[in-house]
Amino acid sequence: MQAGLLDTWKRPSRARGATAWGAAGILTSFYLLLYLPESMFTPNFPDVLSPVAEALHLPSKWFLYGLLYSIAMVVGGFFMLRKHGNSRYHRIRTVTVVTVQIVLGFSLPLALSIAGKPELYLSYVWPLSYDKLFPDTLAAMPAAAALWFIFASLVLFPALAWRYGKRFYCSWVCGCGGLAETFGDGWRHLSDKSTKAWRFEQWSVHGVLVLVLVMTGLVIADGISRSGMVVAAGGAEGERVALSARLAQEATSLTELSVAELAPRAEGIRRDVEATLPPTWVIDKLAPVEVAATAGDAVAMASAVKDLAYGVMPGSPLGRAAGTVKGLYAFFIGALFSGVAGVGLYPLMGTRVWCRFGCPMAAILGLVQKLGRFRIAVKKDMCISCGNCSAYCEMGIDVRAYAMANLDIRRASCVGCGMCAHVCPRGVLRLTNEADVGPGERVGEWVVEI
Amino acid sequence: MHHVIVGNSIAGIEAALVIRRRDESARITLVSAESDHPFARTAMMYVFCGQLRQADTEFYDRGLYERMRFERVRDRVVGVDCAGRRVLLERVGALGYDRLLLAIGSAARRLTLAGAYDGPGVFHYVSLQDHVALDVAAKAGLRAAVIGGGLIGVEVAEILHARGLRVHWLVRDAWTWPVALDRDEAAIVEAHVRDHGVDVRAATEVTRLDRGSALKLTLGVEEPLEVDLVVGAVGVVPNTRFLVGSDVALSVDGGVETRADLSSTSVPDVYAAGDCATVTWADGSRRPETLWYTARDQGRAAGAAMVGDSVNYRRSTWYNSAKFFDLEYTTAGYVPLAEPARRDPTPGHWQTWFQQHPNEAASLRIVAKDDRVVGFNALGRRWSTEVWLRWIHERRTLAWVHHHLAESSFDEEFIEPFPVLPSAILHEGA
Repeated sequence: MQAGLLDTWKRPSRARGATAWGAAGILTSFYLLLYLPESMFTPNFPDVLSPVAEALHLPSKWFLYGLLYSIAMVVGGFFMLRKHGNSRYHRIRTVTVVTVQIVLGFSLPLALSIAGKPELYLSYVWPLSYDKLFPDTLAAMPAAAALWFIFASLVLFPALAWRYGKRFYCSWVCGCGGLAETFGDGWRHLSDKSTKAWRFEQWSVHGVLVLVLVMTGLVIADGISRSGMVVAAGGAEGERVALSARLAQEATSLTELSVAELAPRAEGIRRDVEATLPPTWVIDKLAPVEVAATAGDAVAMASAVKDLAYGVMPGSPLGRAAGTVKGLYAFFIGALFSGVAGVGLYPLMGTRVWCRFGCPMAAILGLVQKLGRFRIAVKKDMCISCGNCSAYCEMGIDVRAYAMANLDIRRASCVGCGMCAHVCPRGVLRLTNEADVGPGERVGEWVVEI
Repeated sequence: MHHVIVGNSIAGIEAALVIRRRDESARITLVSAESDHPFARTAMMYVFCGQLRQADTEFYDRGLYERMRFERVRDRVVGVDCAGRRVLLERVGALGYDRLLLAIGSAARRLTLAGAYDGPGVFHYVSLQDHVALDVAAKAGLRAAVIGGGLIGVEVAEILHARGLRVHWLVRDAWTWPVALDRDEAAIVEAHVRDHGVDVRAATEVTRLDRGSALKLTLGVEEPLEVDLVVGAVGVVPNTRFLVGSDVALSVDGGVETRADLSSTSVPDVYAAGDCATVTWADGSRRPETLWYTARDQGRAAGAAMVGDSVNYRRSTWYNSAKFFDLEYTTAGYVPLAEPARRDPTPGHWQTWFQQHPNEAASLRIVAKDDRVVGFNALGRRWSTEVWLRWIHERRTLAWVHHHLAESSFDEEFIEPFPVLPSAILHEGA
């Protein structure tokens, strides 16, 4: 018996009891408070977290979220190691994933933000962080960072997944996975193991991947057509494109200004816009810029000017489609699925709801993993069918069925957390990147005379 | 053709699956008094500890019976009328068969202490019903004596201790599990179990049981031990009492006599598999082999025989595994033990290489005969039984195995290889 798993199914908090429902309610509410105030459907939802962040002298509510997230992972990691720290694999893995969150997921972006530079989350690349291949996003960051995101998204991470399995990301680096493996560890057994859930998962996770591919394609196509327009479009359209470019440039320089310089700059922007566009259009679109300038908030003003840069662009069907898909994805997938449901349902449906049913990164790395070297090797004929492996698989894989059938496990969804091998009381399972030497001999087929 | 299978654990269900695969139209009925669904008996202890739910131990999904068109009878078989080709049931009467498989497993061997069963407080841990009874009775804070130094004994000691009982583990032999462990290996196990807080007492025979406000045991000549409950874990016996007096021949130890190839029992069209069957072991001896793996293999062989295939069940080279609290045990091949011997070694030049890990509760024993390796016994670390059995099959020398040892490691990643040290003990003998 694994000491830390004693009475797992006898504790209401871990067996969908009243406390579990309460915890799910709290987590869900928190994520609604976090995401709804900025969403396209509920822009006027009261923002209660930003004042808290301000009181704590954090640059934005997202850093408050990052701080709480990191604390949850450190505390959760402590409890995880109390349960499973008798395994060196889990010690190294847990310390790594928590460290990545603290350094790359919180400290580095905070330091950049305090230094007035754009925040960079280097451990989140496309397609999980879906805008990291968007031309505008890449153009707005330092060249080295842009190169990193392109290289990591398209070359490095898939290559690592081929060599080591997607676990290198999902269980060692990713913050979503990291939260599941630490804060969420006590709920891992709640994942649905039915084949129905498996079928749903195949459609949903690859469906989200298709959405990201379509969205990315639209945005890139729109970017290409717009950059072409700068050269090609003359007259009124050309002027609007040029104005948009000027405003985008303006937005990046605002955070370096002193508070006193903001209002004159806003005045300059108004004149520039009024010179190009009809006055009826200008009035309401300029308001957020001037409000932020009056408040002396350079960050908010930069954001408002960036919006304005998009707003003055001549409307093209492609641009409108890209904008709509981006908005819908950000709300339904980014906020509701990965955040509200992904973490809010931890105490009821296990910790990998998002990773399993929605994450496009997990989908793409999973497809690579299926072709790659990682597998869970099964000792032939040795399984005693106890079911611990399946019960504690957070991805809902029926590991036991493979072990009983003497089949190595090569499932796209496996995040390689290693818990199946850890809880196996007979040491039947082993995570490995070693090349498969082919089907082993069935030990039951021969006998040696002594 | 109506196939009746008595017992729906691993041997019974595997036989049923083989029959269905070969015969789409056969009528297949599984009779069990124990449970609706086959479950892993090996995992009852995890249910006791709340690590698993009972349903988690069911190794096939609940749709299996319907999908495979297996019929289910929840009843106890009380006799077999071979002439009339029917099994007699406790509640529903009788059930006719064309082919009958006896896969009824084993039951706990009862304690021979006088008065042990005259009142409450004495438990076993073999059947689901044993599990339920112990689950109800075992309350944190109570004192428990577990009698028996084998696998069920250590598992019961573990789960009672985990629940917060004060546990005394009483082992009659000089050390724990002497059919599989040598003295130095048992010492590692006993130290490990003691470290968890269990009172381990080897070479301790319970000689008396008296009842009062508690159960008063006498250990040896006069040492008293007062406990609230006793678990008898002194092995299992074939669950064949209901066959006494039928035409089905039983061996002296109570197992159902089978032909060596498992093609039938002493009665035509009656077959046996699993714990209840007396079978031929790899060493040629005839007795029941009470292992999960062999029950599975025997069930498949018997199922094939029932649909008319010619079968030749032959026990493969021995392998087994176990777990003592956190300490895993793996064995493969032939490992003769100093005392008491599991089997008499055949003549030849025997070498036993034994090494305890300098810093961990782990050890490895490799046995060679005439300079070829024939057996492994390991504690603590994980090893590939597959690779070991292949080496035995390939007749590798001890030096070769030492050189290649790391290739058979099955430890989790990032664990240092098990060291081969000059300080290891090499015992040579004829």
